[in-house]
Amino acid sequence: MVQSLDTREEIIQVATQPYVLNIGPHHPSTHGVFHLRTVLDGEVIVDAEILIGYLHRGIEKLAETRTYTQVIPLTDRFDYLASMTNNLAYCLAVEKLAGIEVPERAQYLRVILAELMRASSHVMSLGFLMNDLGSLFTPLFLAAREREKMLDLFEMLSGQRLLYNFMRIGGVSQDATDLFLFKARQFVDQMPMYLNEIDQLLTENEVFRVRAEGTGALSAEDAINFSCSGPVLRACGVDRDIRRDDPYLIYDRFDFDVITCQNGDNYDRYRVRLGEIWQSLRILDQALRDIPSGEVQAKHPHFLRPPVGEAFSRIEAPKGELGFYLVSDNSIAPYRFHVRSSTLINLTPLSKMLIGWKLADAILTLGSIDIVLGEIDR
Amino acid sequence: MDAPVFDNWWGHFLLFAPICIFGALTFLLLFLWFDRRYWARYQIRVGPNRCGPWGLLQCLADGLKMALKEDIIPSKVDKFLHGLAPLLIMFPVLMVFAIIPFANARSGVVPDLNIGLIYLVGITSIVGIGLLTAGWASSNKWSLVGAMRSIATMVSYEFPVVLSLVGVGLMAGTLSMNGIVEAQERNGWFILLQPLGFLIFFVGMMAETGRSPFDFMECESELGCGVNTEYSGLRFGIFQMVEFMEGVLMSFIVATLFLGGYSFPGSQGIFPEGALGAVFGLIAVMIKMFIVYIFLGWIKCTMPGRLRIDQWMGFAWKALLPLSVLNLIIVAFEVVAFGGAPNFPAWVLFINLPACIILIMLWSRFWTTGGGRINVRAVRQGHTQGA
Repeated sequence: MVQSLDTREEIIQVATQPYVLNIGPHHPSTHGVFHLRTVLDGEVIVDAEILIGYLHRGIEKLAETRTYTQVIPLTDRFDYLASMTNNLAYCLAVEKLAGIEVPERAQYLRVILAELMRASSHVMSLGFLMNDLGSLFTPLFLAAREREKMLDLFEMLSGQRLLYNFMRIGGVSQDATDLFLFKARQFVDQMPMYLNEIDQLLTENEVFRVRAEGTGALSAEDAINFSCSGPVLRACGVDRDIRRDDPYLIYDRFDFDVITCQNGDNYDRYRVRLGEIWQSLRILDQALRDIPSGEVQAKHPHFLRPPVGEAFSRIEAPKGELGFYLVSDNSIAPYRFHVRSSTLINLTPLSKMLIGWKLADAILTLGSIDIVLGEIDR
Repeated sequence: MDAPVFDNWWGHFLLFAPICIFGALTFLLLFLWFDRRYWARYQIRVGPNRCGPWGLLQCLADGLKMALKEDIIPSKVDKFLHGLAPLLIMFPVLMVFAIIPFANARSGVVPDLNIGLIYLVGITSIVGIGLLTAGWASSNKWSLVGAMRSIATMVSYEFPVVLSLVGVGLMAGTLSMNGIVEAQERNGWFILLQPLGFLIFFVGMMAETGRSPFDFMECESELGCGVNTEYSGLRFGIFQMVEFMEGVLMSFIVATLFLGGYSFPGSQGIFPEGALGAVFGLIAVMIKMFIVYIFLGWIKCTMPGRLRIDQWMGFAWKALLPLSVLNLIIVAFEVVAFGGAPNFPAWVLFINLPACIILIMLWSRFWTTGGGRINVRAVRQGHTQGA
C-alpha cells in the first residue's frame, strides 16, 4: 500500500519522540564555550535554542573603571582572532568623542593592520569551516600556515602574537619599520598563491558543495530584520559594507569591491569570505604603495578627559559591523561603554537557519557564521 | 598439490602462533608510526619524532599511556555491556586476519579456509553489533547517535560490498581466499577484470570501516567522539586501535581480492616452493597492502569533509546498490559465456573497463545525494515545550 506524504508525517509523529541534545558547552565544534540546545527528531533539528554567557567577563562594566587608554587591552579580548580590529573600533570611538585628529601615516598603518587582520580572521574561519565539515585538520593546518605569516608580521610590529594592544588613541603605539613594510609587501605578493590553492581545492569540491549548497540558508529579508552584518549579510545578496557606505579612516581613497552572493547559504558565506581576502589584498597593495612618512601618534593629554557627550563609532570588522558606544562625563574613565558586537547579532537568526536541517548541518552552519565567543559574551 | 600440507597442527601452532602474534603486533605499532608520520606530511607537520629513534616508540608510549590511565565507568552505564562492547569490536577484526593469505597455502605455512569470503562477510558484521552495544550501554545521547549512524551505515553498505564480493567469487570460481589469489595469478588481477566491482567494494569498505569521508561513527566535529564518548583508559585505546586495524585489514583484503594478494603477475613457477616462497608471498602482499593504505591515507588527509547522513544513505542505496547488481549481472554473463573459472579470458578487461566508466557516468546523472530541508512543523507541535 502506498502511503501519502501526510499519513507518513502522522506515523513519524506517533512512532518517534524528539529528544534534547545539548551541543556544547564542551564540544569540539562550538568554537569556544557555546551552548546550543537542540531538539532532534532522529537527526532532524526540530528546535534550536542558543544559550550563551559562559565566557562573560563583564568587560563593559570593567571598562567604566579604567582610563580611556587602559580600556584598549580589554578590547583585545573581544574577537581574539582579530584583536587589532577591536582596538581600532574603540580608538575611533574615543577619537570621535574627544575630537582627535589622527596623523596620515597612522591612518595608513591602521588600514594595513585592519586588512591584515581581516585576511587572517577569514583564513582561519575557512580552516575551521572545513574542520566543521569533517576534514581531519588538513585545511585547518594549511590555513594556520598562512595565518602564521600574518602573525609574524604582527609580532614584528607589536611584539605580540594574539592580543596586540597596538592601537592607541590618536594613532598607533609604534611606527612601522621599513622591514615590516617590506615583509608585508612580500606577504601580499605571496598570498594569492595560497588563495588559488584553496580555491582549487575547495570551491568546486563535490563533497563540500553537496554539503554546503543550500544548507543553513538565510533570506535577505530575515538577515536585514535580524540586523545581520558582514559576510553573513553579504552572502544573502545585500550589498552593504561600512568601509564603502560610511567610510571611516581613509577607506574612501582605496579601490575595492564589495563581494556579494545570492543564496545566503553556507557555500555563499564561504565564497564571500574568500572573495573578501582577495579584496583585502587589493587594499593592502594600495595602502603599502601610498603610505607616507611622518608621525604615527597625535598629541593629546595623558589622561584624556573628553567633553561631556556621547559617541558611536562603527567599523567593518572581519565578522561584521563592530560598533562602540561611549558616554563621557568629562572624567578620565568612560561613563558608559557598550559594544555592538558583530557575531552576537549574526548568531541570533541561527535557529531560523537550522530548523529542518540535520545535525551535521547545524555544525557546519555554526562554523560558517564564524562566531568568536569572546565577542559574543564579552 | 591438491590439499594444504597441514599434518602437524600442534607443531605448527606452537611455532607460528608466537611469531604471528608478536610479529603482527610489532608490525602494527610500526605501521601506526608510519601512518602518523605520513598523515603529518599532508598537514605540514613533522609528526611524532621524539620518542625513540625517529619517534618509532611513540605509539608504544601512547599505548602504555592508554593502559595506565584511569578506566572511568560512568555511574549510569550498563556495566556488563559497556565492558563487553570493546571486545565485541576488537575480536572480529582480529579474527578476519586469520583468513588473509599471506602466502600460498600450498607452501604449507599458512592455512586456507574454503569458505573465506563468507567468513569475511559474517565476521565483519559482528563489529556492528559491538558498536551498537557500546552506543546503547553508554547511556549517552552522543554515543547513541553515533551507534545508530554506524548501524545504518553497516546495514546499507553491506549489500553493495557483498554483491561485489559475489562477483569476485564467481570470477574465481571459489570462495577460498587462496583460490581467489590463484585465479588472479592465472587470469589477471580482478581490479582490471572487474573495475566496477573494485570501486564499489573499496568505497563500501571505506564506509564500513569508517574511514574519512565516511567517518560518521567517530564524527569528531559533530558527535564529540561518537560511540566511544564514554570510554576512557584501555577501552578507549581499544577503540582507537580497532579503528586503525580496520584500515590495515581493509588494505589487506583489497590487496588480496583485487590486487593479486601474495602473487605478482606471472610469478607462478618463478617464486620458489615451500617456506621460502611463503616469505616472497608475504613481501608481495605487504607491498600491495602498503600501496592501498597509502591511497586510503591520501583520501583521509585530503578530503575536505564528510557527507551528511541522508547523503551517504542515498549514496549506498541509489548508487552503489544498483551498480553492484549490474556488476554482478555483467560478471555472471561473462562467466557463463566465456567458460568457467580456470580459463577466464583476460580480455574481458576491454569490456568491463568501458562498462564501468559508462555506468558510473550514467548513474551520476540519475540520482541526487540526499534530501533538502524537512518540514518539521508537524513534529514540533506539542513536543518542544518542556522537552
